[in-house]
Amino acid sequence: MENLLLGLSTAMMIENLIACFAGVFLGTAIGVIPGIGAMAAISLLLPLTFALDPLTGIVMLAGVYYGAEYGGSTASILLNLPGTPSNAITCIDGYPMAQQGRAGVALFVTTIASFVGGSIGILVLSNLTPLIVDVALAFGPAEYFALIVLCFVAVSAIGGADPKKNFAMILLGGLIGTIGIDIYDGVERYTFGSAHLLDGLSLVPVAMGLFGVSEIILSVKTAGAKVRQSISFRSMIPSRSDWRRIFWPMLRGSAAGCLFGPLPGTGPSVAALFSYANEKKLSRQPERFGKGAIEGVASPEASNNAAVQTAFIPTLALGIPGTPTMAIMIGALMIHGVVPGPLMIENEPRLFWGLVASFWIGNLLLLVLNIPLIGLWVSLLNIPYRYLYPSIVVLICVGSYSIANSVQDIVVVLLFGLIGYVLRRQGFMPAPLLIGFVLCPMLEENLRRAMLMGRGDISYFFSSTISVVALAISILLLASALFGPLLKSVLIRRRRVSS
Amino acid sequence: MLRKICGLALAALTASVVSTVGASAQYPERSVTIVVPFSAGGNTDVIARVIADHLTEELGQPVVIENRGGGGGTIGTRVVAKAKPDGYTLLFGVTGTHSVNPNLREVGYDPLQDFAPVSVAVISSVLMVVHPSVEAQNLEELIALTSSSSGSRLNFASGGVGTVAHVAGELFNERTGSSLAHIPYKGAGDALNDVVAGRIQVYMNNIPAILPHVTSGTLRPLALASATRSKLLPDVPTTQEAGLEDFEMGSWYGLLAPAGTPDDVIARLHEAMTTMVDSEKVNERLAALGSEPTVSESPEAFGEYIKGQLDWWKEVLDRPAFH
Amino acid sequence: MTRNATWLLLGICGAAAFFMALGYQAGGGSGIDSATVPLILSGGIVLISLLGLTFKQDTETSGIELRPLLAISAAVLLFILSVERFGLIPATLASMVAAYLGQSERRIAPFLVYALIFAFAVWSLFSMGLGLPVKAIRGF
Repeated sequence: MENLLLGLSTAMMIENLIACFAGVFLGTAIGVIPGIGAMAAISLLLPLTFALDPLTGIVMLAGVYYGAEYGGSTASILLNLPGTPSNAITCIDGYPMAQQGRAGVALFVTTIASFVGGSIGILVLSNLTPLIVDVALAFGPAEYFALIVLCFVAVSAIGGADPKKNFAMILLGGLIGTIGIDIYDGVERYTFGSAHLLDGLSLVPVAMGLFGVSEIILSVKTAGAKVRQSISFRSMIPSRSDWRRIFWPMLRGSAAGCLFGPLPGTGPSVAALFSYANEKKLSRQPERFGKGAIEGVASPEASNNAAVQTAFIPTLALGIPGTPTMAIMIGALMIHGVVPGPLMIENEPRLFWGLVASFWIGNLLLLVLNIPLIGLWVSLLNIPYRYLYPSIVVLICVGSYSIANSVQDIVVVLLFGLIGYVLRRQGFMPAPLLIGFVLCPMLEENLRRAMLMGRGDISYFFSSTISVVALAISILLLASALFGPLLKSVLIRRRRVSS
Repeated sequence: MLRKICGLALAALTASVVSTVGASAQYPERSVTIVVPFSAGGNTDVIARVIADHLTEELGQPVVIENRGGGGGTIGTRVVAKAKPDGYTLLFGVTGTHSVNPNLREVGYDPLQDFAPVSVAVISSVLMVVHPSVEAQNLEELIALTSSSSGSRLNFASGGVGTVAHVAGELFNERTGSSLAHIPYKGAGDALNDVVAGRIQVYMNNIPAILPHVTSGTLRPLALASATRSKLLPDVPTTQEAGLEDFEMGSWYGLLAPAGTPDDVIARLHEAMTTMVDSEKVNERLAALGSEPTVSESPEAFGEYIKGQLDWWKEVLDRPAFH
Repeated sequence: MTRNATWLLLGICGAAAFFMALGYQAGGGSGIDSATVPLILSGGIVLISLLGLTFKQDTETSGIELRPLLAISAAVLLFILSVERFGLIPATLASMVAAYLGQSERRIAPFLVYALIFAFAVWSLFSMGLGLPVKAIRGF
C-alpha cells in the first residue's frame, strides 16, 4: 500500500501524466493501423526518451506498448485485419460480429475486456512479482515443451468442420514456420537462396494476408450488400445476456494471460490463442464459435492485455526481455544507468512503483479514450465499400512496408492473401494454419533444446512437476477428444437398448 | 570597362574556387542517413543512435538512423553497398555483417571491396561468466572443473551458430580440453532466462549482453577475453592474467561508407568520430550500455582492422567444431 | 473437380518440401536434426492429401473469382513496384485505382479525388508523423 502511494505520487506528476497520455494515445493509433506495430513506434520514441527523466521515458514507451494491444483489436473486428500478433485470434469471432451489424458491441466488449485483463495483470504485477519470477525461472525447455504440447491439444478444436482440412492446415502452417536459418545447425531451410527469408516470416504479415487480404478479395463482389452499422451509443452497450456470457471468459482469459505473459518463451500471442481455445472447449455451444460468439472476443482480449502487463515482470524483476519490444524497454532504462534486475525494485522503488501506478492510470485513460472512439471506428464501416477497400489495401501496403522499411513484407502479405483466398474458397480455414505457424516452431525449438540439455535422455522431459502435470493434462484432453464421442455413442446405444 | 570585366572574371573565378572547396568543406549539406542493418531497439541500434546523436552535433546536420533488418544484417548491408557513394548513406557495420556472415554464406556484397571504412565506434570484448551454483571462483578453477569428467554435464549458451558466444565456447573447449555442450538460442536475450536460472552454467558473450546481471550479482564474472581490463569492470582479470593465453575475442561496431565515397568526406566523418572519445555524454551513455567508445587512428587503420577480423573469423569458422 | 485440385496441389507441395528437407539432414542421422521436423510436417501433408483425395467430405466449396483476385493482386503489386521508384503518393494512387477496378461501379472521377486526398493523408501520417523513410514523389 505504501509502495503504491509512493508510485501514485510519482506517476501523478504532471510530466509523467502527459507522457502516459501521449504513450497510450500513440499506442492506440499505432494498434489500429494494420501492420505497423508497437515496435516501430517505440523505436521512434526511443531517442526522445534519452532527454527525459528515466521514469517519464519508460512510462511513455510502456504506454505505447499496452496501448497498441488495446487498439490492435479494432482493425481485427472491423476489417479482419490483425493490428498486432496477439489480436489475430480476435478476428475469428470479432469480424463475424461486425458482419452481423454488431461491430459496436464487439468493440465495447473488447475495451471492457482489455481493461479487466489489464487491471488483473497489474494486480498480479504489483502483488505477486516474487512468485511469478520463480515460476518464470522454473520454465526450462522441457517445461516449455510440455506447455506447448498442452496448447496444441487445447487449440486443436479451432477450425472448420472437416478435421482433415484442419489438420492439413496445421501441418502447412508448421512447415511455413520452419522457413529460415535453423538455430541449431545453421542449415538454411526453404530459403531458396533469398537473404530475406533467412530470419523466417513474421506473424503480422502472414496473418494480415491470410485474414485481411483474402477477406477483401472475397468481399469486393458483394460490395453493395454490407450490413449497415448503427452508431448510436445505446446500440453498443452489450445486452444483459452478453454480460453474462463474457463474465467468466474474461476472468479465465485474464488468468491465462497472467500465466503465459511472464513466460519469455510464450507471451501474449499464445495467451490469446489458449484462452480462445479454452472458451470453445468449455462452451455448451462450441458451434457458435467462429460465427460471432462474444466470448471468443472477450476472452482473448482480456488475455493478451493481462499478458502485456505481466510481461513486465521478467523484464523489470530479472532484466530478461520476453519480446524484442521488452528488450527496447531494457535499453531505454539502461541508457539512464538504471539496471533492471532483482536489485531494481529495492534500489529504485520510485521508478518501479511509479511505473506500476502509471499502468493503472494508463488503463483508465485507455478506457476513457476508447469508448467515445468506438462510434467513430464503427462509422468508418458505413463508408461506401468501393471507397473503403482500396483505402484498406493501401494501408496494408504502407503498414507492412513500415515493418522493416522494405517491400519484402508486402510481398509476403500478397502471397498469403492469395493462399488464404484460394484455401477459403475451398473450405479450408486460415486459423489452424496460423496456429501451426505460431506453435510448431516453438515446439521444435524447445524439443531440440531439451534433447540437447538432457543429452538425448527422454526422461529429461519428465524431470519436473510442471512438465509432468502439463503432459498428463494433454494426454487426458487428447483421450477425451478421441474416445469421448465413442463413449457417448456407446452410452446412447445402451440407453436405447435398455429403453 | 576592361578592368570591370577583369574584376568580374576574377570575382567569378574566386567564387568558383571558393565554392568547389566549399562543397566538400560544407559536407554535409543535408541530413545524413546511417543504415542500421538490424531492427530497431536492439543492442546495435541503440549504440548506433548514441553515435548518430554525437555526429549530429559534430556535423551540424541531422544524422538519422534507418533500420533495415533482415537476414542477420545482410539486407541492410547490401543496400549500403549499392548506395550512391556521396556520403549521405552510411552503414553501421558490425562483426556479423563484415567478419562472420561472408564466411558462412553468399551475402551479395564484398565486405572489403564494396565499402570505404570510416572508423570503428565500439569494440566489446567477451566476458566469461558462470552461474553462482558453479563451484569455480576463478578461471583456473573453472578450467579444472570443465576439463574433468564431470565437466561434460555443463552447458554453454549462444545466440546462434557463428555468433561470438558460440565461437568463444567452442574455442574454450578446444583450448582447455573441455566438452561443454553448446545450447543455441534465437538471440542473446532468449538465452538469458536459462542462464539466470542456472540451466546454462557457463556463458561467454559480449559485455553488454551480460553486464546488468553481473552488476546485480546474478552471475559471477571470471575473466575478460581482452588484452586489457575494462573500465566498466576494473576488478575482472583478463584471460591472460587468469592463466588462459591467446584467448582474446569480441565484437566490433563501426561506421562505413559505400566504396567510392570521396576521401574528403571520409576524412570529415572520421574527424567527427574522433571527438567521441572525449565526449562525456557519449562515454556516459555507452557505459550505461556496457560499452566504451573506441576510434580508429585513421580510416586506413580501420580497413586493416576489418581485414584482420575477417581473416581471424575465417580461420576460426573453418575448424571442424563449426561444421 | 476443383476440390481434388486443391488436395493435389497441397500434396505436390508437401512432396516437394519433403524432398528438399532430405537435404537438411546433418551427417549422423541419429536423433533430432534440422531435417526431422520438416520431414514429419511435409510427410504428414502428403499423407493427409492422399486421404483428402480418397475420402470426400462435403463441405462448402466454391470456385475462384478472377476479377477481384486480379484487381487486388494488381493493386498490391503496383504498390510494391512503384513505392521506391516513384514515391508514396503515386504508389498509393496507382494501387487504389487498380483496386477500385475490382468492382463493377465506374465513376472514376470522384474516386480519383478521394484517392488523391487519401494519398496525402497517408503520406502525412506515415512520412511526417511516423518517420517512414519514403519520399512523397520521386523524380523520374
